[in-house]
Amino acid sequence: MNYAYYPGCSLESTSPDFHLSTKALIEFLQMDIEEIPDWTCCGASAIHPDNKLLSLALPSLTLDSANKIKKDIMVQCPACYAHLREAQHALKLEDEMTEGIHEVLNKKVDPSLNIKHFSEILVHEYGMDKLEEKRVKSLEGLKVASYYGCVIVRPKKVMAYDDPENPQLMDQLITMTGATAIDWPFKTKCCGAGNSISRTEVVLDLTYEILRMAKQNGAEAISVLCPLCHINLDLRQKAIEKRYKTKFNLPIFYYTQLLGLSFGLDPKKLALDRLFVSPFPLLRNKGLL
Amino acid sequence: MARIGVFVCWCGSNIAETVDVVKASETIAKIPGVVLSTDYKYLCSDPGQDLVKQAIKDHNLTGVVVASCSPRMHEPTFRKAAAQAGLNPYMLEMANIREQCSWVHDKKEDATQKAIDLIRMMVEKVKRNKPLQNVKIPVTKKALVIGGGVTGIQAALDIASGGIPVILLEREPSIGGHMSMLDETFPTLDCSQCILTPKMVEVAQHPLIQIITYSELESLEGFVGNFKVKIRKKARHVDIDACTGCGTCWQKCPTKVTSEFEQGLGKRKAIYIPFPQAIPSRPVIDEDHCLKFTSNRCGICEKVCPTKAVHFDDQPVIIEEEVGAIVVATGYDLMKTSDFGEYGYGKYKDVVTSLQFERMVCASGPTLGDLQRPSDGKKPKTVVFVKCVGSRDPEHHYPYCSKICCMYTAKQTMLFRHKVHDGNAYVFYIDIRSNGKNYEEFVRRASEHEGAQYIRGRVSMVYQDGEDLVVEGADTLTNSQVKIKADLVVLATAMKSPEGIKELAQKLGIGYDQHGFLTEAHPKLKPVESSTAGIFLAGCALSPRDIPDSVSEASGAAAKVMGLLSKSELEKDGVVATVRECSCTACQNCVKVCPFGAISLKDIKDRQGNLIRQVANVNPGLCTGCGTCTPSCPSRSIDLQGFTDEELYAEINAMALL
Repeated sequence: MNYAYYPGCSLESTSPDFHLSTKALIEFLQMDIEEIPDWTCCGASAIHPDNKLLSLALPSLTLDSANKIKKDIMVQCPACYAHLREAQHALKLEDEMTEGIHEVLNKKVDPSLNIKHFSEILVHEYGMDKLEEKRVKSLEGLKVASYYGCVIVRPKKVMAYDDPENPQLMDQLITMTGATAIDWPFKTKCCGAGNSISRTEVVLDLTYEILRMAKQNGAEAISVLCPLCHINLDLRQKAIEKRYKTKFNLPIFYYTQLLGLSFGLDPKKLALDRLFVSPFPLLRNKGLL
Repeated sequence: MARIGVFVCWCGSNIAETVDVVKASETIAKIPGVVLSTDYKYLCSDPGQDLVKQAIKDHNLTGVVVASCSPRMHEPTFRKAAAQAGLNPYMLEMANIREQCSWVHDKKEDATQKAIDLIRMMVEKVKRNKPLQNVKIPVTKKALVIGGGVTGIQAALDIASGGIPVILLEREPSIGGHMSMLDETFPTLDCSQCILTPKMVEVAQHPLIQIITYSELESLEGFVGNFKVKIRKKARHVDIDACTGCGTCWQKCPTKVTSEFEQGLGKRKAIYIPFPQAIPSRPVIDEDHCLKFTSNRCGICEKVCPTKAVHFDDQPVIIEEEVGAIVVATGYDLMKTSDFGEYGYGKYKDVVTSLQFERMVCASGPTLGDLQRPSDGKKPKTVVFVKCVGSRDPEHHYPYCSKICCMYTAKQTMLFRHKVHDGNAYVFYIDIRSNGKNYEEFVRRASEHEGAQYIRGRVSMVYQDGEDLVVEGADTLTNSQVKIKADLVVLATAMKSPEGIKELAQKLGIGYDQHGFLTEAHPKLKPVESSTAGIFLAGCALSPRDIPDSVSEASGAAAKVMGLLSKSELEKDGVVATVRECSCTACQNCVKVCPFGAISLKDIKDRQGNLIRQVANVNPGLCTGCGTCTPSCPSRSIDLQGFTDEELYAEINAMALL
């Protein structure tokens, strides 16, 4: 399990809880994963509406850095995942755009390495059986809605992540922890993404639907794999409650944090104290702390 | 001694503008063996043809070269003329100095020289041509129709009306196909069963039509006019002749099974007829669910049958038939709700397919025509129809349009509103394709007079929100998002090719595309013929189409069959491969490369009947004259008549050696 870890800008800045819990898991599971030296921002939401070539060239730089250490790439952030894959796709097409990328970077980038999401690696490579062996505390009794967000599943041809209509990878990991992964229809509904900054009401309205549907289907907590979804569901939850005059009290976990809990890792190491909607009352209630 | 006549055509100015036809004919006249070389304005005209015919007689011509257009245009014309003048038609060749010369060049001097070269090549070939004879093949005057839906039924009736016996083969227990499942049909709102069952009865009673149901094609051998067919009759476990259709058995049967005919919305028994108007009206036993077969219990049907028609020990039987022509009318299948994640992967009971909706509104359906929500039996007040589900979707499903959905959705809105007068019918659409006779007027009736509300936009999701089934879509004309709380959602799912079609097509040796739709010989000019002689195609087996088109094609295919079988012998052109047996070593190269399976090994025996050796043997009935075998032979023992090595080398030498 030899991978080059690409945290991306979000995990290093606004979502250190994701980064820390990921690193905690890597250490605990003794996976041979090192951070890509000298990685670059993938361009996220800002670049691709403005300049297509730049949006492909920028992540290609990171592909090149990974090539240097000859390791396949592991990502957590769906936007980083999407941009790396789009760049790889563009490089493989070998058309004018590919030439443009090579010209901008002043070098040819080999696109043949693999890019995978950490959840894919855990389920398909590390294996559910081996993960279950490591479990020391069952999160039984905890009802969790797996929320994937919309970026990681589309476009289908480029991302090839699970079933785009009803993904299961995170649900499988939640089930492994002993918690109940509830069935609900909004797994990939858009939360409003970057509108969180520019048009916050849009996010409040869209994310409200997600919180509402999760609660309606019996969720006590939500598990996410996207830093931006996390901000919208966690940071903005109070504003949503105020706007809609309701209470949700839904802690928003990164799936790595839930996995770490079931492996008996220290809640501080999993950065559980960095969540805006505190998970501690719920976890204490369920006897999981 | 060769006596070749050469006729160079002006073709008006088509040739003469670029090629000096007079000079060409004068130059050709000097070639040894050419006794006549002349030019004419329009050789294909009646006087032009007369010129050729007269010349053949007057000059005792042994061969003719017509230098004019492509042989694809007029080779049959001129060969027929030659035959009428008493010259074997294969002694006439065409030199294409139009499509391959005057139409693609502009320098007169060069084009003229090229035309002269082309004509000289054909003169040298014709000197070596042999007077070939057309191949005559005997014909079995019987037809097989595969598929017992409306298309197969129509084809069978039309063929039988021409006095030709027909076998109608159907793999379900009854004929009728999908049309027997429909409620009312567009654009007339005729009751589907009411217009179909008379044809079904006619087929059943027709002395020349033999219906074989619950059976499939096992294998096919032979060639046009002479097919040998093996049919596998599945074990019915009911003797059709002894059974009277009284129904006692299925009334007493304790086992209920989800009914395929009711599209999963109703039940049938383990011994059953699929629907009341089934033909034959005799049950079959479903071995997968009958208690006798699964756990050796029950057996009530056998006990109560008044005519002792139930036989648990029936075995599948293979029968052999000889037919001269085959019509493939195998119809279609429909995608299921479980194919679509955005609409719930089949878990929402109130999200149904269009065919399920037909059963729900049909008076003979699972709720006897009382429209009820499958989940709670309540009457639906708001029904949302979603079109293009799986069709026009190259990204995820099928790229093609399923053709009938725009029409049947308009129809279904009306069927719904006729039952629920204050109901809301919404239709989400991309386009409205209503291009048949009275079709546009029918759709307008639905939207302008019968209350159907059309929303232009796609549906992104259908989901359960508490008690409600919510349809989320877009209205592109008002640029807004739409959310509808629906009692029932009807998906117009894509038509696709049926299960097992590729295997069947391979057994028949006919082509199919990547979707499993059968390929016609030419999409515009040969729409009901496959590329295999003697096998014809009709209906949705080719691609999605409606009942009028399917029935028309059935009649078209039947006409082709009747044309084929109207003669006592089939005549095929003589351009076939032949084997020089003395030098053939039976290496089987030609056998392997022949795309039509026309070559096999033949035994050469001595007078006592002992095998001496084997040689390749060409079946002239299957040979299409493609010539692939000729270069494959290491001993030059197989040659294509009409394009022999000798003739072709003569052409090449004529051009290359000046």
